Amino acid sequence: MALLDIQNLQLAMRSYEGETQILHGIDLKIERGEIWGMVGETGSGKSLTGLSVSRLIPSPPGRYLAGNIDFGGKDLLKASDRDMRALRGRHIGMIFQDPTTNLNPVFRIGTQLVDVALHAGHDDPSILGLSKGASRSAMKKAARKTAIEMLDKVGIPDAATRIDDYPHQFSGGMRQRVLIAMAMIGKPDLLIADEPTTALDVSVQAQILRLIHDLVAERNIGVLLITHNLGVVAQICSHVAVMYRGRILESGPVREVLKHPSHVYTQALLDSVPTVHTKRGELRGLSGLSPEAFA
Amino acid sequence: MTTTETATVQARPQSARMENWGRAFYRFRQSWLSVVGLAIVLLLILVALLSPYIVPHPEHLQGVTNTAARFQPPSASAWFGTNELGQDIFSLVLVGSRISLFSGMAVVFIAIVVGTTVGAIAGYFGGWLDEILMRLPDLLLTIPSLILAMAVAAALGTGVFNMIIAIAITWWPAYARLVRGEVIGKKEEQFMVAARALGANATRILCRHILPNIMSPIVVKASLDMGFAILTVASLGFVGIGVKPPTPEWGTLLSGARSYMPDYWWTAVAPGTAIFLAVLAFNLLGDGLRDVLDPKARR
Amino acid sequence: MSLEIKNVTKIFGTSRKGEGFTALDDVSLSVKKGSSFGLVGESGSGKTTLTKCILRLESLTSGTIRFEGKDIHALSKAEMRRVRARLQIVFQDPYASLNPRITIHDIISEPLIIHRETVPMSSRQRTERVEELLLQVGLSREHLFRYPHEFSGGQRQRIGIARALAVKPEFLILDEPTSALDVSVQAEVLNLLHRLQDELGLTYFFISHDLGVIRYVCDEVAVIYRGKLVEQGPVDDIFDHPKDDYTRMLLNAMPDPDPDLSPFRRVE
Repeated sequence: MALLDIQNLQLAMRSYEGETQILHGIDLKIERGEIWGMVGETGSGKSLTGLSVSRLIPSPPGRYLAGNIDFGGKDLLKASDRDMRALRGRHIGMIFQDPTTNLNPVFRIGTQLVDVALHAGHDDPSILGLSKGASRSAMKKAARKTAIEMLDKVGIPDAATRIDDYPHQFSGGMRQRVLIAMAMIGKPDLLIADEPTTALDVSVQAQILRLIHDLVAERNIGVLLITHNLGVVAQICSHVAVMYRGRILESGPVREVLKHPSHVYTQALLDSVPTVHTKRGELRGLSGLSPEAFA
Repeated sequence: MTTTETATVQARPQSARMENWGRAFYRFRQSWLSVVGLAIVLLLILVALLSPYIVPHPEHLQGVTNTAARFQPPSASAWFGTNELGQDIFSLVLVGSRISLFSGMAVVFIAIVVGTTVGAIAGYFGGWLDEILMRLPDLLLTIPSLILAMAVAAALGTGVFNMIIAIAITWWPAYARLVRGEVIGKKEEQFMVAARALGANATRILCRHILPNIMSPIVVKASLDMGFAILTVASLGFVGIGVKPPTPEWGTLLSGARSYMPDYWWTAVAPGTAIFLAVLAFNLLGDGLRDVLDPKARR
Repeated sequence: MSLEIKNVTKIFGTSRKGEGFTALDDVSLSVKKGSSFGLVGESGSGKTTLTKCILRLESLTSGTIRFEGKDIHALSKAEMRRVRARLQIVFQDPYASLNPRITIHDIISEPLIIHRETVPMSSRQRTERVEELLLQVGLSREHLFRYPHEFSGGQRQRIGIARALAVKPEFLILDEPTSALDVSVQAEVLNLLHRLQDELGLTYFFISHDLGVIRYVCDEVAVIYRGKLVEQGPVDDIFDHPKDDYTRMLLNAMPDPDPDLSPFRRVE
């Protein structure tokens, strides 16, 4: 059974203009060990797909018209809020684009990490290396130890002392590492990363991608990486789904899709990326193509 | 700016603007409490405008008394009862809305004009100008505003205008502070930098770029403040510094009812409820406006 | 030479005792008329400070910046105004750089009003000029009285470009003009910039962290790292034969959309 199985996901959002359908039947299956890249441009619905998996779309304005999201034998769309809270952080980890706004500036890094660790440990003490019925103080101690180990794992040098720093004392890349540590601390089976490197410099981006890649290799988790950057997908993903206006136009192993795209839109996207080898006049946008050609 | 566009392009801004209004009202409607607030506020304004012509006993407003009918409890003939002079409380409360609303609006308006001017100049230019301009509001903010207003009103003498001036003096510093902060925040926004890069001068940047963009918090604050302004006006009336009888004013009416309180409760209930409703309505409206103008504050 | 920057150093916070922060350290470069000069650097490298210095929104600690022979930081206010008309900037964030409360017509005509002494126009002429500019950047007349929020990112950036071109400048500073845009939109905007350069003979000073974009647009490039230029020269030289380690690292870190070039891909 697949780790995550999204079937015919249809989402509508209500606004001033009335209800508009945003996702028109998304199908996606992620196995352990796979890194799925979800590429698309602004408004394609890629982020909303990610948010749907962790059920972070408020309703209203969101409303699911059809479909199911199977994760660990449960349909997430039917799960209660309580179940979802238990799943988030524990079985599904999330990383967002902006490492600055997703850390609370008034708390130490350690406090925030330990909090997540305790939450996960409450559910399953083995995460903290404890057995059931451990005392509160033992839990706290173990949570801190786990937090330090996790920071060390994501490449924060001198984790044991830096854990007591505040977010502003970290650079953007370091903050993103902290967020990855936070997402991974509950040993999730699935990691959803929404534009995790978009706000970062290319040199830092390369390090973060390396980190995600190594985590997958080590823990055999599944990753849904949402990005607009085809380069990132080509580098790190094993599979890719190309989204356009709420539909997946094409999906499959990354080499197949990017080397031999079967859809004009994918080809057009590839043709718009300036690489270090692109010469003047070689770039094409989508202007020559009509939106109907992609549907 | 005057332009001589052709008719075809002129059709555009209206529809774009209409759409913006439609969008704003849609967001406003999302909370029924703000709609209630808006309804009460509109009703208050309507009552204030029409009250002298619709009240059952206009003669009581001029100070005519009817001691034969004093302290009548609420009945079909006198909806809110009568007071110690036999005057119809319903008529008094209705007309009292005029003073309350008018003074509230005047206070807030003066406070906005003065506060925005000072705050905008201080925030935009910064440096020593900021230091000098902001010391006065800082000073005024250290004194409890009601006490300051009472002192100023006592010094100026009674009367509606003096009272308005007295309250406005204590209120503008809050706007100066707000506007200064907003201006400093907006100054660093990219379209300000863009305007500076284009070579725009300070007046142009302030009037054309900064002020329109900080109107939202000012409007929200003004709406929330309207309730408190009405309350302050009533407070001054209550302690006897504001409006003098026979001019009907909610605070004065409440003050007059004080001595007859347990037995003739209706003399206090009517003006008290009026103050309560007005303050509540403006606060609800303010909250609703904040949702529309500054959607990030909630959500 | 259109723009000549010589030994520019900018230190922040020197007014108080102690060490200031050196944002620019002895930067020298020159931009040929009609060419495109690229400046590559990561966040905090000093690229934005340099543009602010060129526009005289920041003062210099030492060094000179000459625009067509004139020392920008020595000009009088009135002279600087005239220079500003010929030296325009397009900003990175098309969402933040347009005033949300005024119409496209007013946004684009603003430089025409500010520089009315240099380019005297009646209000009718201004509207005509705005319409002409809209067409030039690929928008249409019916967009005239819309507000910025009604446009997509790419369209907004076209509006930003139209505003910059309004007073017919010779020199355009492009501060990461496409980094907030989708790739397909970026491609269109880059092609628009090419076309405008050919049509209007513009000189570009193009700032970016994206090496692919720089290579696509620029003739010459300088790499800036922590306020210092580590390397500069013709794009092909720098990209094909980088001499500096930092440049090499940047080139290697650029994710290429060819899966076979991935450093992670093991032979399967």
